[in-house]
Amino acid sequence: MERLERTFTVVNSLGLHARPAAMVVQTANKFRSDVQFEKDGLQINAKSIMGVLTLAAAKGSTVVVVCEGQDAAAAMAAIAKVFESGFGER
Amino acid sequence: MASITLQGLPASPGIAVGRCWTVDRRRVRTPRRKVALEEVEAELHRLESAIELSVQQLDGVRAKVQGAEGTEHLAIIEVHRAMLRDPSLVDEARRLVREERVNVEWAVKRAIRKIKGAFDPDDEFFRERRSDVEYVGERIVKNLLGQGVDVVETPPPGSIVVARDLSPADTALLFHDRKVAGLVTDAGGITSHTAIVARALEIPAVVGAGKASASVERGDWVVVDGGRGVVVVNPSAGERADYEAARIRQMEREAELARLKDLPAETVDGVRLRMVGNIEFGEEVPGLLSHGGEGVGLYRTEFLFMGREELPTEEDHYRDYRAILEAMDGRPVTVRTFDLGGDKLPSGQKDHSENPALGLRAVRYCLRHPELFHAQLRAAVRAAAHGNLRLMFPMVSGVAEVRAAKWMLAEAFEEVVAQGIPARMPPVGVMVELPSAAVVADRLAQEVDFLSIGTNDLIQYTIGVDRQNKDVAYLYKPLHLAVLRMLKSITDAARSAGKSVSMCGEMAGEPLYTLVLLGLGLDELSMNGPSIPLVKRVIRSASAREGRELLDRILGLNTADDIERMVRSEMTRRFPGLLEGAASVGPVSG
Repeated sequence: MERLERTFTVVNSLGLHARPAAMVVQTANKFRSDVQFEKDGLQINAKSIMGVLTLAAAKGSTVVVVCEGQDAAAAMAAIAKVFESGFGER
Repeated sequence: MASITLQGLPASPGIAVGRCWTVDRRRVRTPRRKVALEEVEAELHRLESAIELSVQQLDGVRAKVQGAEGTEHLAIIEVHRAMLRDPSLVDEARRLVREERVNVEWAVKRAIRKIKGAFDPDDEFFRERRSDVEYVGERIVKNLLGQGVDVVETPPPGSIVVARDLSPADTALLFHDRKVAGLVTDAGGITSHTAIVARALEIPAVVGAGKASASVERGDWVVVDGGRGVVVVNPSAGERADYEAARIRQMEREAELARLKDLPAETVDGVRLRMVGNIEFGEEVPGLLSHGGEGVGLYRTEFLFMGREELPTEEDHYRDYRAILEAMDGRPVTVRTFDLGGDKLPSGQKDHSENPALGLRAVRYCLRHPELFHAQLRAAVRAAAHGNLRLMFPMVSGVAEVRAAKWMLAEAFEEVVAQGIPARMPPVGVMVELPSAAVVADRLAQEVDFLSIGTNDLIQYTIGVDRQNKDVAYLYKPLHLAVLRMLKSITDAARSAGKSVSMCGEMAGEPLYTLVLLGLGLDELSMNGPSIPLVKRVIRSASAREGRELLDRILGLNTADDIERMVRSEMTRRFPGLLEGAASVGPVSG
């Protein structure tokens, strides 16, 4: 079982608002691994839209992503892509 | 029938007159009962089916509205869809059925309440999410009870939709084809989803109108004045005619201004000005371009500091500037370095000095905090490699400060280049907003590539008046002879040095002053996007020569009142109806 951890910065100007949150959850749910987000001491399940929305990460904030499970590497790569694209926004 | 006037919130501007079409959105009453142990599995199965049906309904909504213009805001449907299957909802509802033996409707209601508790009701963003969660819960419960959820009828074209409240799904279904003329809801704020969609689709709307839905019946005449937040139910024939006429005038004015968008701001005698915008956020770029903005004349970078704990890093600046440069696609973008100090300080800091307006502000603050300034300058030279960036220093009082700031810029540039990072040295300008800078504008012009006049501060400092102080605000006169003489000496100085000169204060966007500004010979006017078309209209029908003549005449008068009277009468004579129209353009800040 693999455990990976990486830190990402929210780069789009509106931050991790409703639409990007839906995108993150969709991506996380494609994998069997556990995907957890951590910000300011708050830890949430990235497969839960409610959880991701409670983070309300603004532009410039950093989120620690932890993937744990058989396909952790693939999950991390997919989540990285979502963050780095600014959730498809500016 | 007597007409009723209701005051709500102005959610989306424009006037609409049409027949009312009510949407009934009664809240569901959730039944509560105990379930026997042997019923638990059946209850859980009902939950599965209701969620499945809910997902299908949202897919149906999405399929129906897909591809329609302006529906990017309806991405919220995706969020609702994800919420339906969220473990914190589904697992909690299941647990309640199993452990507390309550019926599944009640279990869903309880789970929803718990989730809502995690969202702070005092925060605008979370308030919207609370209402999303509520709509999702309501959908499941209604499906469990076999009640209809979404609007099924289509309103006749030109209707005014009146409802207690609308779910995002209702909003999508009702408005995606843009055939509804207007919208009124009893509930909601101007940042609610419904209001945002109405603005995106340019449908006049009033929200938070109290008892609107209880005051109308289908088929009643309704007037929606979205700009003022006014709803008139059953208007008299006279009222209807007045609003109808206002609607047509407004459409004609918009059509005319839209035609101006791609035409140059050129006078009849061939003087061409550049019309650019004042912005604070990248999100303002599309609006600026849609009003015909040819660049950004003032990008206020201090807003990067707002609402955050730590100072923005070089990367933050760089990404931000680069995004704006790319969005402006080669058009010039004038970045003003931090105008911090006084009332604008990074969070946690406060200026306790006796007189902040004359204190450690703007370029003075930056020169005192070189680490902060250095990061911004590095970001600026890096971003300049990706577009047409120009850099400008605020609140410069004389030549020494310009040299110090330029020295730091050169240092940042050399450092970046030495590190092998792509960079470009941008054109450099100063804001002329202190009387001292205005008086030595000829010398400043020797040091820089352009001057930009910040009239708001220049007027306050010149007349020595704080316009926020209501006892002396009457003295704030843009057409004070001292201000005019100062403006003239700045523009003359720039011209003799062969440097360009722009204006980025409120004066630039106020059509009353346009002829005077033409007389001064400014090269660029920077204002809020929505002010551009009207000012451009004046420029296109005026000549620079008549501007110079008017300027000569008013420079011969003595008092600000006499000057203003002459300018006003000339503008009224030359452009009848213009100044009355200017009032509807809205406030302009600079």
